[in-house]
Order: sequence, then C-alpha cells, then structure tokens
Amino acid sequence: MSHNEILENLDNIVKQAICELQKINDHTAIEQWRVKYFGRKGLFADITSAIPHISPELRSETGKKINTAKKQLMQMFEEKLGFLKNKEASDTDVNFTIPGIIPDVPNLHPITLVSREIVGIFQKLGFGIHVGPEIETDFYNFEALNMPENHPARDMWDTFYLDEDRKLLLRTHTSPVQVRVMQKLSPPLRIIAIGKTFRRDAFDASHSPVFHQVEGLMVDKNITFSNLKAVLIFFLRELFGSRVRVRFLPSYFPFTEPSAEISISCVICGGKGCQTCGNAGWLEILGAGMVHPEVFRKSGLDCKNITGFAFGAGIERIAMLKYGIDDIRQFYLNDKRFIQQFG
Amino acid sequence: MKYSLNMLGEYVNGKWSEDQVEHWLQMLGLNPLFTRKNNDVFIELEIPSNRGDLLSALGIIRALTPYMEIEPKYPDIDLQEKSARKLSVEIESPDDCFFYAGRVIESVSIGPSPEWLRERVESAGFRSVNNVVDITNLVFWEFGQPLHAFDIDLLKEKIIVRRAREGEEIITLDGTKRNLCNDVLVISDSEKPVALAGIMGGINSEVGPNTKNLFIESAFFNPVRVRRGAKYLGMCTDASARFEKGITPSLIVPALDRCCWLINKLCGGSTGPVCVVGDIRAEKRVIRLSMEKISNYLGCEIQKDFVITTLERLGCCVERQDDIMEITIPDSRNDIEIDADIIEEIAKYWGYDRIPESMPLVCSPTMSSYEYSRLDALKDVFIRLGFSEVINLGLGSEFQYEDTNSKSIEIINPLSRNYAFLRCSMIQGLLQNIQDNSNRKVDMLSIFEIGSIYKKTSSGFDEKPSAGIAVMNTYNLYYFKGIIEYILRKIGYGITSQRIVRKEYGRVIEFLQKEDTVGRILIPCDDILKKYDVEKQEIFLAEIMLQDFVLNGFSEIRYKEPPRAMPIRRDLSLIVPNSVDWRKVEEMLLKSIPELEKIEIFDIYIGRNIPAQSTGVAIRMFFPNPESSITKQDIEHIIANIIEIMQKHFSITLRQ
Ligand SMILES: [Zn+2]
Repeated sequence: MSHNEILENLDNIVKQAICELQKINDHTAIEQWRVKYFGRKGLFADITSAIPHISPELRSETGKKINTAKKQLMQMFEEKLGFLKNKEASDTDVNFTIPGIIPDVPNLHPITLVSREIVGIFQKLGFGIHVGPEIETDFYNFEALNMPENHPARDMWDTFYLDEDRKLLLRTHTSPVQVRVMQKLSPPLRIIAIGKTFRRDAFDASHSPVFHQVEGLMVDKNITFSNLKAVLIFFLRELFGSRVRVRFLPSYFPFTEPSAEISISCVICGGKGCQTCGNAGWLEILGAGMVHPEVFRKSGLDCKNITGFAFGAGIERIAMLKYGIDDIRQFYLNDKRFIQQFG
Repeated sequence: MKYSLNMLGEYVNGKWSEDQVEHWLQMLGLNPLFTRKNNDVFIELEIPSNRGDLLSALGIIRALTPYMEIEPKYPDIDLQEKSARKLSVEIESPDDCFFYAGRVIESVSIGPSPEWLRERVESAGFRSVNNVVDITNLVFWEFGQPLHAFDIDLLKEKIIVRRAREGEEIITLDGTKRNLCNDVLVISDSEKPVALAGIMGGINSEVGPNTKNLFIESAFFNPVRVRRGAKYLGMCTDASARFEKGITPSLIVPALDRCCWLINKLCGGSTGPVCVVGDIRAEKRVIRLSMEKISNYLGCEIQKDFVITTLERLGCCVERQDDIMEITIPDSRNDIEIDADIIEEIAKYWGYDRIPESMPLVCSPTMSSYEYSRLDALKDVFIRLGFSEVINLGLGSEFQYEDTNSKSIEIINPLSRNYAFLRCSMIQGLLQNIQDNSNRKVDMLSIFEIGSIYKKTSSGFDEKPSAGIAVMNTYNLYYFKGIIEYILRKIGYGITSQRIVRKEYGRVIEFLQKEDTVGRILIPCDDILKKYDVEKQEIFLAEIMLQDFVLNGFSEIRYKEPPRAMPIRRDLSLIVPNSVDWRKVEEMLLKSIPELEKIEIFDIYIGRNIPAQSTGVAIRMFFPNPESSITKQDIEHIIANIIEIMQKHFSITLRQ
C-alpha cells in the first residue's frame, strides 16, 4: 500500500466508524464495534501494520495521522460508552412511570373560601366587614327590624329559642348586625356582615338548621334603588362571571321597602332550563331592598335625611352554585375528601 | 287558596290571555305556578305575609288592574230581607273583636250543592260539604272575608264573643277535641263555646242535613288574638290565616249579604235584618308623597301620569296639591302604611327591571371590625401549619369535655335531642370529625375550627370565639404541643404557667396566662378513643380561647438584627426522668451559665433504648460569642459544667 492509499483507506475507515458508532444503541453492539476497529485484528491494527511498508520519510507523518484519527474515534467511543451506561442506569435505577406522591395540602372550608371571595368584592367598593353575636335578643332579630311581637312575618323565620320568655334566641339571619352597626357608627356607612345563622328547619338536601349568611348595608344621603341595583349587579357579575344576567322582582321583607328578590340566569344551563333551576332558567340568589324607615328609627338614626339599602344571601347556596354541590349537608360532614377538593 | 284562571275570568269584563296573567303575576313577585287541568289552568301563588288582600279573588283582580285594559266585575248582590228575626249578639272583649255582623235565615233546605257550585268550591281548594257551607266558602274565596254558618236551633239564646275559660273544651269540625285556655277567643251561646272565633266551627252547632234555620257570621277579629289562639292550639286554617293578616272592614257586610242572597237563591228561606255589634274602624288613611321623593328614592324619573293612574287603578284616591299628592289608601291595603310603601307599589308596576343602574358615588369607606379580620387571618396561620379547616354545626346532644364550672345552653324548642344544646367546647365536634373520617378510611388528619362557644354564666349567656385543633396520626405529643405553643405565642399570649389536670375523659395540659386558662391540650383516655371507635389511632386535641386575641391582635412583629458573630453550637442527647419539670432545667442553666443564650429541643424519643419513666431529649445550645473570645477549651469546660448541673440537680444523664 502506498502512502496515499493508506491515507485514503484511513479516511474511509474513520467515516465508516463514525457512521456505525452513531447508530449503536447497546453494549453488545459497541463491543463489536470496538473489536472491529481497535481489536488485535481490527482495522486500525491492520492499517498500522502497513506503515513499515511505505517510504521512510513519510512514515512519521502517516503514523501521526493514524494516531490522531484513532484518538478522535476513541474519544467518541468513550462518550458513547458513557451515554449507554447512563441510559441503562437511569432505565433500571429509577422507574419514572410511577406517579409522584401528592402532598396533603391543607385547605380552607369552602364556606370560608366563598366568604372571602364575597368580602374581597365588597372591599373593592369600600365596604367594611362586621360581625355580631349568634345568640341574639328578640329586639335585634325581630323588633328592630320592624317586626313587633305577634307580627305575622315572624313566621318567615322558624326560630330556636333559649329562654321561656322567648327573648333570647339564635339569630335567624345576619340582619341584626345592620341594627348593631347603625347604633355604633354614623352614616355614611357601607358594611357587610358574615356569619352563622340558625333556623328550625330539619335537614334535607337544601335545608340545614345551621347555615351562613352575608348581609350588606349602605346608608348615606341620597342612596337610591338604582344604586342598590348597580352594586348588586356588580357583585353578582364579579362572583359568577360577567355574562350572568340579573333579574329584580318585587318581594316582601318587613325591614325593607321597596323589597326585591334577585335572581341570576342559571349558572348550570345558562337560562335554558335544567334541574338545578327547576326549568325556570333563573336562580334566586339575594333578597334586598331599601331600608325601612322604622329600622333607622329603631337603630337611633334620624331617617329624614338618609336613605339606604340592605341585602342578604346564603353562603352555602352561593357555594353550591359555584362548585356544583347538590346537598347542603356536605358542608357539615367535614369529610376530608370533600374539603380537599377546594384547594 | 287556589285560583283557577277560568273562575278568575268571571270577575272581569272582557278577555285576557293566560300568558298576560302569568307575566303580570310574575312581575308582582308572586312566583306563579301554572298547572293545566281539564281545560282550565290552576294558579298557585306565593302570597307575602303582609298581603291579606291577595287571599281573595277580588284582591288578585285588583292587584292586576293597573296592568289590565279591561275592568274588574263585582259579584252580584240583590238581597231581600223577608223576615224580621234577629239574634242577640254580645261582645265581651271588644279588643278581641272589633266588629261582628250576622243574619238569621229561616226555613232553608240543606242538600248537596249543584254541579256548578261544587266545581267552583273544589277548584278553589275546598271540599264540597253542602250547599250552605259551599256558599260561605265561595264568598270567602271571592271577598276574602271568612264566613261561618251556625245551625241556630242548636244555639242557646244568643251569641257571645268572649275568651275561653280555663278548662273549657270544644270538638271542632275536624272532629278533634280541643282544650281551651284564656288565650283563645271563642263564639259561645249562653252555655258553651260553639266555635273558635276566626279559626274553626264547633261540631255542636254544625250545619247538617236536618238544619232548618241558620245564623251566618261575618266579623272582624283582632289579628293578634286569632294568631295567638291558633298558635296555642297548633292550628292553621284558611280562615285563621286570613284573619291574622287583617281583613277588609268595608267588605264584612257586603260579603255577608252576598252569602245570604246566594243561600236564598239556592236553598230558599227568608233572611232577617243584619245584627251588628261594634264599630267598623273607618279611619281614612292618607299618605302624602311628592314626585321628587319618588325619584329620589328610586333614582329615576317616573311620569306623574303613570303614578296617578296606577294608584287610582289600585283603588287609591289621589288628590293633587301642587307637588304633594294626598293619597287615600283603600282599607283592603293595610300593608300600605308609609310613603315608601307607595313608592314600592309604583316601582312594582313600573317594573324593577326598567329602573336603571347607577353606582353610588364613593363615600368614605367603612372600617372593618377587628373581630372579623383577626379571626380570618388566624385561619391562614393554621393553614401554614398544615391544618385543614372544618366547620361544625355547634349544636349537639349534651356537651362534655368542658371545664368544670360552666354549663351548656339548652334550646327550649329543639328539632331533636341530638341538636338540643349549644356547644361549650370545640372538642366534641372535632372528635366526631375524627371518627367520621376514620370510618371513611382516612388515616391521617390535621384539622382546626374557629367559631363560637356558648356558656351559661351567673349573669346570663356567654358567647366567645374559640379555636379547636385536632390531629390523628400526624404529630406526636411534643410536636403537637410545639404547634399549640407556637400559636399561643403568635396570637400574643404570654403563657405564665402550665398545669396538668386529670379528667375522666383524659389528661389535660392547661396553659395559663396569669390566672386564666387560655388554652388546653387534651390527650384523650382509652375510653374516649373506644367511644369514638379510634382506639388504634394517635389522637390529640386542643382548644384555644380567642377573646383576648380578638381584642389585642397578633403579637407585634419587631425586627431584631441577627447577631453577626458566628455563634457556637453544641448538641447533647439526654435522658430526662419524667419527674423533672423541664422548664426548671432551662431556667437554672440560663441563670448559671452566662455564655448560654438559648436551648432548643430538636428531637424527643420515648420507648426503645430509653429507660422507663424517662424521656430522651436532644437539645441544641447556642453561645453567641460576639468577640470570638470563647476558646475551644472554654466551651468544653462550659459543656462539662452544664452536664454536671443537670446530673446533680435533676439526675439527667447523657444518652450513650
Ligand atoms: Zn338551569
């Protein structure tokens, strides 16, 4: 073989070796490759053995070129070997198909979550958050709300009493907080109250003797029914999405006049009619109205120069619609598997 | 009361469509439910408790009049008095019965109602009884004035309206014997009660097949008296529901006359002159209202023509005096008392949906109460510690696990024994949550609840905010105790001492701030674990009183620069006899070793390799070393000293 023939041969061997090496994917193949090129009878041994046959002045140059090529291939060989080792190790040391372990993430109760969402919306409008006692007096729960003794409207709230005179009771709504706040703070004021309320209703899918309410009150000079509508539509669209439609219809509460019952277009069917909305397309969500002058009077405010509106809603009902819960009892079972869904 | 669309249609001149009527009733907020049956439509309505007037056909028609283009048609009355017979009526308590009217009808023939009448009373929701009773019910349905027919031959001498005497009784028309009391108003003859006034008649004066002569009653009983009597007796009838809301005085006699006229038409007989006692309160209710007030209240302009037409079609009389209208309210509308009530009527017929929305201008925002914001923020502290929130009803059967000197509050009219008491501690609810979850095969639980607890005190009822905490298989006692101690510190409680108390339900660690117990850890005894079916689980509970926290808030955060010098740290693993009060050990070491800054406990073990009645405690000691003056030899010396003090005073040894 001449010098040129050797170099040409070397070139081919290197090209072929690289090409073959790239395709190799396991240990057996790479060992065969090593033997083929660098084994005792391998191609490099072959080509090296040809060196003594060429002219002496070209020997050292040819030798260098062979060595360089050999080094280059050996390096590629080592890299490939390392890659194969890693690959096999990672395939067998760890099973990546086993799912990760999800941590036990602590959760707030959905009633707290919904309450916070409501609070957040009203805080944007400058409302303060207030609370009141759950054990109430007849005065705050009924009388100050324009329901004197023997008022037929008292039948709207089936009440738990704590004394024989029926003067102490578990509040049936959060409306007493209105009166307590108006006795303490002077207008202008805007507040919401959130808390537990109690009614003598037996448990079923939509009734619970204990539930939560949010109550709102805004009092100032020149507050109008039109303001009530704007605030409540803002609230409901923030809570249920901007596409929700809101309907106001007349209603009756002794402590508001005019009174309204407010419904939203069904969040399940969008108003077409379904089981949740009783095929009506509407869901009752809020009771509201302009504060009755008698309530101002009983709270010690001069009603000549002020007007106001008030509203109330059940937190559980809102949560049920928001999350698609169909049984109010779920809230009080405190099943970890229930609470964990709201994280 | 039920309304059939066909029947209502007989009381208007002209035609209306079903859709119109449904829409109008909807607009009035009466939530109509229409059911179709045999070529007719039956309407169920939700009548607000202040609208007695809507408990009658004429009332409903009147309420629809402002929408209608057709006119209402009133029932015919053409009564001829053909007899002179009267019955003597006395009202013993005029406060209970404002007005009483009646007529005697002689020689009637009682029998089944003709088909048209039977159909009508049945579609109005009554059971057909006989011609006379059916007529009283039909007229009641039309006018909203309850009427009652007595067999006058069963009455002794006269009618007396009076309170029942204690011990009196009556069998009512439904066949039930009623024991009466002084709260109940009765109609009696000279001997005995013959009817419960405004509620139900008595069987002893019932109109039956053999009745010949009648006395028809039409009266105005005090709504409160009827309500209290019905409540006492546990009864609610169509008549009592109507009387409770106040009937329409001006319809008392017309309803009586129409009833007698129909009886004469259908059952024959001759009617006598009207017997009247009392005085119809004919006070004229006039309310003054300006157009300006309407627009200020509603926030939009409504045309004056609309206002006046609407009110007039509702039966009001509107007199215009410059800007102020003087509006006379019909006596059927006892719900309209103030100007806001009239504004509501106008808004209703105008349509709430037609009132535009406008955001109120920003007035100064109102501050929140600390009670809400602090308790709400505390929930996040628990969440950060890995606890999930639960909310319990707070009602239950008699509560235990309270501290000794408090009593739980009882509901006097509970739904059931299971929900008869208000909780005076959070513990019971949390134990229930643990049991329920354990039954559902949840094996680890860390929960908290923030809410009110209620106690009877010498001065009355007491309601206080409280936090309950419970763990199942998530923490050992010392980690749990650490969490409780962290929270107590976080909410600003300076614990001055702690006390171990043995109770029948387990051992309790009480945390005291001066004299007051502000927190408790409960290690439930085996009996309790067994009772809740969780014997194999590691369970700890705690309760923290939050009243002071609500007043004072979280402990204040004050920045302190961390020491720049590298502190020296040394760990020791100790065996501490359980009789040792660890706080004393810490106290003594900090006092006797000036270089020692603090001691932290970083691990605790019991059981294997630890002698009985002892606890393995791993401590970490910090020596600040600000000038790097403590040498290695110094520290060895100090440690030796510490070990010696612990050994000598507390018999604490090093763990091998
Ligand atoms: Zn729907």
